Amino acid sequence: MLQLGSAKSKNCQGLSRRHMLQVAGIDLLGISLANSLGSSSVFADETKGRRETSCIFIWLNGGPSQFETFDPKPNTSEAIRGPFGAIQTHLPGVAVSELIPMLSRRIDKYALIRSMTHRNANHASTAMLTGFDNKQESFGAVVTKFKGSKQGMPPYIHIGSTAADATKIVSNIDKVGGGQFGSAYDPLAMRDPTGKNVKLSMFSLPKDISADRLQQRQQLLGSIDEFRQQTENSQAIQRLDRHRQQAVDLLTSTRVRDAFDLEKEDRRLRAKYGANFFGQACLMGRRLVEAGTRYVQIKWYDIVAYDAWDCHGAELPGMMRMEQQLCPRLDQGLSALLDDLEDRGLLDSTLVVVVGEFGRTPKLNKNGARDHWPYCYSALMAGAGVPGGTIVGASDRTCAAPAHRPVSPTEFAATIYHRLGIDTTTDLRIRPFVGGALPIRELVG
Amino acid sequence: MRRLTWLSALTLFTGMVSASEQSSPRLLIALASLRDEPLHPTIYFYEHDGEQTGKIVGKVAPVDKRSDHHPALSHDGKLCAFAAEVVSTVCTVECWNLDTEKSVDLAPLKKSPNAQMAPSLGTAPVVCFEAWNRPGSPGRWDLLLYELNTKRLLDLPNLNTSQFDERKPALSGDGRWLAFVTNAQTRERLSEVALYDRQASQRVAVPGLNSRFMDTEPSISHDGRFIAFVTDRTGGEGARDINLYDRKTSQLIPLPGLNSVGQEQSPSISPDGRFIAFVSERLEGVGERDVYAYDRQTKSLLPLPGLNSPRDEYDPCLIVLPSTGD
Repeated sequence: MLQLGSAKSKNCQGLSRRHMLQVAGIDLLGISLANSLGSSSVFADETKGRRETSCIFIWLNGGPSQFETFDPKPNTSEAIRGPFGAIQTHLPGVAVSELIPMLSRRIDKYALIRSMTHRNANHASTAMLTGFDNKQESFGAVVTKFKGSKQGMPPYIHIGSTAADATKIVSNIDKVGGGQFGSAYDPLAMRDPTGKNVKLSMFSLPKDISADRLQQRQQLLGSIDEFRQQTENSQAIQRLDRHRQQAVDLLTSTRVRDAFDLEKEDRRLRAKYGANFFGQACLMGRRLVEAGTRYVQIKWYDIVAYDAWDCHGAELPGMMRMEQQLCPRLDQGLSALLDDLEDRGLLDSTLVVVVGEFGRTPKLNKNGARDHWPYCYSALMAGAGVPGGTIVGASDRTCAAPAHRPVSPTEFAATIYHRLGIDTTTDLRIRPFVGGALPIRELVG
Repeated sequence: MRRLTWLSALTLFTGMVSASEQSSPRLLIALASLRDEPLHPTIYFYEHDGEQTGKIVGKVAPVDKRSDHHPALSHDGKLCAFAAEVVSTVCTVECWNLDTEKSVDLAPLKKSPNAQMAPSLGTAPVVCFEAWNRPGSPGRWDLLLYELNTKRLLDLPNLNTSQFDERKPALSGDGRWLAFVTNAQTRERLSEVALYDRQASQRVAVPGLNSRFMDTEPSISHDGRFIAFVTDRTGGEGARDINLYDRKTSQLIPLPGLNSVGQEQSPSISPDGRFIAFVSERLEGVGERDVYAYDRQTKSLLPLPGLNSPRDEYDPCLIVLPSTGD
């Protein structure tokens, strides 16, 4: 059996084919993170004096009700309006649901799109995670492809489940990720962001391998690659080498590992975000973009009992959950995130996006709740130059359709890419991911 | 489940026990929990000595794929009404007898194609609940009162409206007062706490209780003097807080040590007004949503060993039981 401790003294050329296979297996076990870091085709550097834009994308899976969040209709007909009232913001004529009072006081920090529209009423995440109904390359993957990683951080991190590990998924995202770019462009997945439970398999060394021994392994692997290069002179091997070095840097870097550790954060600030998965995920998102991650995707809870936004029912699966769990957590966590980013001077360089796969029906069902409605719903964008206090479009009197300025998922996508520094008008490479759509002019100036 | 034999000896709890008369009353808390079934909550009963110790003493027999929540104990501790919801069906109100450990037949109450939930029980054998567009009711969310003995709905004149919502009933132990939430009072349809006097069949003003933000989830003491409720108003400890309103003075009573920077919700005030059980999300908690109990006499939280789990506990209903010697 190959002994790692003594491996550094061996000459690769003396290794047998069997030994090589053993080493390759260990490679997969120990530093497969190289695959993730290797996803970058361009390793962009920070422009001097100007921080590159990152994104925290908050995915409200299940489909949040526009009525009970950002587009209340307290005085529409009895068959349509819900039981909750509206709070006037300090913008004349602009109100949000009484269920999000903290966000009502921060209207100047974000823009609302009240006329999002598409036609897919199923829990398909593709439209709002890619811009299209039939694409698999998520915004995060495309951004990674175009912008690469920075500061040694994984460029694309997903917080929350990724679907296959839960039995009661409300809204799968498993078909959205690297897509045609390959699995290397899938996000690095973090199931639980809370300090005591962070488990990132890619960051976990086997128990018997210390950081020193990892370095030894790196030397060993380097020797193997040297051998390979001598035999095949493969560019792919050379590229893999660079990715592997990044993985080792990441695994052994205190700075990077600390970014993933919420226990390093002030407890008062942690509490301010909310002592729940969503609040702590938002805080983790801030830590990650602060450390250099380009794109953080936060997924709301999955399991029905744990509160996805798919509220067809009355008590736990319905309006009561909107009132007691969903909206309070969104209100507190998102408000804390916007405040924290601003306090740290990060809001100008961090795009915050909040959206689900669709909205909810105008008509209330037999539970007094709402069903799926993709024809008109709301989205939120903040930071990265998005003008706060902007209201894009409007819904009609019953939130059944856009009253004016309908916004498609591709326009939504183009806006995200534009704000993340990808020129959607001149860079032909982005064309497949925006079609002919232009960014929403009210949000990009 | 251990049979709750002590409950069978109880008689109707009609007197308001003052804090000074009884320093360590036994408490019974009903709550919803996901501790054993992560997808569907079950109603559990937790008995506490009023000081340091307590334990789970029973639960409502779970039904496959049914979520049970929002338990409401009768003030004699014999019955527990709750909301039950099977996926893809409408929510209904159910009732559990803690003595016999069997369901109580509420068949006439269930005669609605639409959702009914959020029950509240008083000492008298009546259950108040909210119903969505129930046939024969004015419309939207209305409050209904069902008498268990006669198995019929009782009139609540001048309470419900057809255009607006009456929700979240909290019946006082003496059955006279009914606190609830309405959105009928402001143009913005803000949720506000209101009070209905069954004796006079009319609403009663609660000056100084509501704010220009959401005020909701009332819980009322036995004689209707104290109303604990949830508010989003600014100036509190953080996000949602629990406030306590004294109808005698029309003022809010401070609750030092109860609220946190996080969300406090679902208060349940004991009949004597001394204890308030509630839900909170705190970093030091066992799970995300945990149940806590506040003692107004000591101005501190009671330790509730064994009550919370790594999964959610919520919707508490707290009553005070007579001491063993009573």
